[in-house]
Amino acid sequence: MQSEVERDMSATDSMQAISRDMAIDLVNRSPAHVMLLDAERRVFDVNARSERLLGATTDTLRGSEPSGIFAAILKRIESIGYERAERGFQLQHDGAWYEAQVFTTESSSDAEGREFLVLRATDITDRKSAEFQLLESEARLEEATRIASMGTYKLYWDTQKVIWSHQMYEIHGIAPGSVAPSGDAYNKFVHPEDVSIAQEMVEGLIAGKEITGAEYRIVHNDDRYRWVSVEGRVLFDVDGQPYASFGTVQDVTEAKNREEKLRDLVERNTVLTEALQASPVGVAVLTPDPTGPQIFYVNAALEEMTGFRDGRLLGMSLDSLRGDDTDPIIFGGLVEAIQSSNPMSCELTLDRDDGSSFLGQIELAPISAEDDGSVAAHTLIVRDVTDDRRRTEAMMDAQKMEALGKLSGGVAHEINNLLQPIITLSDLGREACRPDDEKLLKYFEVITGSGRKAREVVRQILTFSRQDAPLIGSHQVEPIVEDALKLAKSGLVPGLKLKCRVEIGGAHALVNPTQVSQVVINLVRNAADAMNGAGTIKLDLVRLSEAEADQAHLKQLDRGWLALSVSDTGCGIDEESRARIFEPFFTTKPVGQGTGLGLSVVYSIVLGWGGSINIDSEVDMGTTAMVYIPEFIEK
Amino acid sequence: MGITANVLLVEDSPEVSLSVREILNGAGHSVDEATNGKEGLDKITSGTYDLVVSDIWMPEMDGIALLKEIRGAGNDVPVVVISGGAPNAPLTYTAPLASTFGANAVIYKPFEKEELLKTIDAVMSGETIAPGDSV
Repeated sequence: MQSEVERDMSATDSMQAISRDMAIDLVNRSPAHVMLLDAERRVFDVNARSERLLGATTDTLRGSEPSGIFAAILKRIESIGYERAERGFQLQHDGAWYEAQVFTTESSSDAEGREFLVLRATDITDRKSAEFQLLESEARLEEATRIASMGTYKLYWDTQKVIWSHQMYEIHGIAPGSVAPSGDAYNKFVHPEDVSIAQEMVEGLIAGKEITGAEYRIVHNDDRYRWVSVEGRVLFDVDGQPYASFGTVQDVTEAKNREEKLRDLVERNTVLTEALQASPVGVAVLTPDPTGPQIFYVNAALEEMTGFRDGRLLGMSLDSLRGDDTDPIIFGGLVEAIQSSNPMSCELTLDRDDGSSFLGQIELAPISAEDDGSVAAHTLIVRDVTDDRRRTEAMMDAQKMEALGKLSGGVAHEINNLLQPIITLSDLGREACRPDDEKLLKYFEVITGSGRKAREVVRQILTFSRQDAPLIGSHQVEPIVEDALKLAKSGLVPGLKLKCRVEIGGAHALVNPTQVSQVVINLVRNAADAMNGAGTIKLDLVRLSEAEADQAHLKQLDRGWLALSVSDTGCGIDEESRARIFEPFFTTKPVGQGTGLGLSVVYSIVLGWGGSINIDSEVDMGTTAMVYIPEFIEK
Repeated sequence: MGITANVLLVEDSPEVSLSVREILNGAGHSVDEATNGKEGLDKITSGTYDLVVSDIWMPEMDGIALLKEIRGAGNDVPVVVISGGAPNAPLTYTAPLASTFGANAVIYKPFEKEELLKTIDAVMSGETIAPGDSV
């Protein structure tokens, strides 16, 4: 029996030994820090993790007082009592969070059967911080929603339990806490027409969907309804698992009403809006803004005029239309008028989207929409008067030229009468001279010569005044120009080249061949004079496409336009000179080098053909003279 | 030297008159003078001339009116107009001078001696020289 008992005992012993080894092994591999204290509360054993934490081996620690986190645990047991400590607690030590637990155990290996105290501590710092952040963000959101008068809700997916903030009850028109909110019972708050929207939203939330701006109506007990807008986000637990929806509900009734009122206003004013859109005149509505007038509305005509299409001007500053050529003083005046609610009329150069500019005739009028007569906005009416201005200027030019023509024609007539005796009598005087009176012969010769030169000048003036219109007929232009080019080339200094491109085929025009030569030679000579002895003059004679003719502001013809252009890379003509370039006797050339008649003659010749002439120039960059000639097609 | 003629010169400017007279005298033509159209018409009505050389712009009666009177009276005496203006000039009516008013030639001041003499020779030979034609 004994032996059996002994045998049994030994079996038990060995079983116990194995389980103890396993226990030690388990304890050693535990993620927790474990320490065994003996009855005297001195270290008896620690697991491997604790050795690493304390930086000492079991052997050196045995018999010593517990240190580090273990000392803190012992201290905490004293304050909270053993029983509470046995259920586990959390404590902070040395910047880390620990979850701790204590229990006593009797060790069979201890012959004296002494009671050991086991201290176990698990580092939960990471978990703690995630949990803390979640708590904190929820707290912040709560605070924010409270300030914004938003309701917040939390919907647990597993239990479908719903938690409402204080404001949620108010938004739904009931006393806080008066009902237990739930997903199922929610529909009773919702306007019958909107139930499906709310239903879909709740189902979406439970299914883990995010909700953005779901809008529906809530019916209050007094049957009045309020519009709400709902947001919903998914909440994740500390392990990163989604478990609930959290979100806000905001009362947007005011905004909704405003929106509806505006829509109603727009609908009621459809006819007016359509009228504005169809207006050929540019219309904008501007609102004053501290940063400058803002564009609130533009009609189709203004979008077309400015090239800013598809509502791109909306919300922009008036500065969007300001360009380099915009007069800053007038623009400033316009802004000032808007800010001070005054009307204004002006002409102002404005920029298009593509950088080109147009001349706008602008009428600004304040709109007082409020009952007290205060100004709510301004209408800006814009007409593109670029072409009008160009026409007016062209007309003024033509009138000026006509007046000059009449004047010079009258003057020429007088001078012709005075030149007759000068030429005739000096000529006869020379004949009457004694052949050996060389001095007198010379004098008469000079007088006759000067008289003849004067006659040439007067003939040129008469050409300008168009009192000397030579016969005009249908001529093929290309050969005439080619002939003129030969003459023009021969007159050029060696450093200058003339590069020509004549591509008009057999085009005819109603011209006088001598005049064509005169125009070509005059333009080439002017170009040469501007070039300072070196470089290339370009002469092109082409047929314009319809678009090109349009762009050059030429009137539409059944037949086409021929364009003769002469370009130099010379000194250019400044703005002031350009305005007077066609005036007779106007010259920028040094005294004795030009009569100031060349371009005047060209001008009147070209006008006589029913054509037009335009000079484009930039100082120090060069000049291009464009002569437009109507093509003539014989029937 | 071709035909010599008895010429009436109608011209208000004494200097132009002197010039024309000198040219004509030098070529063997005899010259009588009037200083405006009215005076010229009186002389044509009372006297006999082979040729009239007339200015256009003159006081009292201008060259156009003179031409009308001459041709209106059925007188086909050759008339050479000397114009201070230019062909087709609206102010001087030079364009229709020949076609409408019956001038035999138009030349433009200041002309050369030879131009005037050649024109006169041509007109005296029965030619009509319209504006734009070269003499």
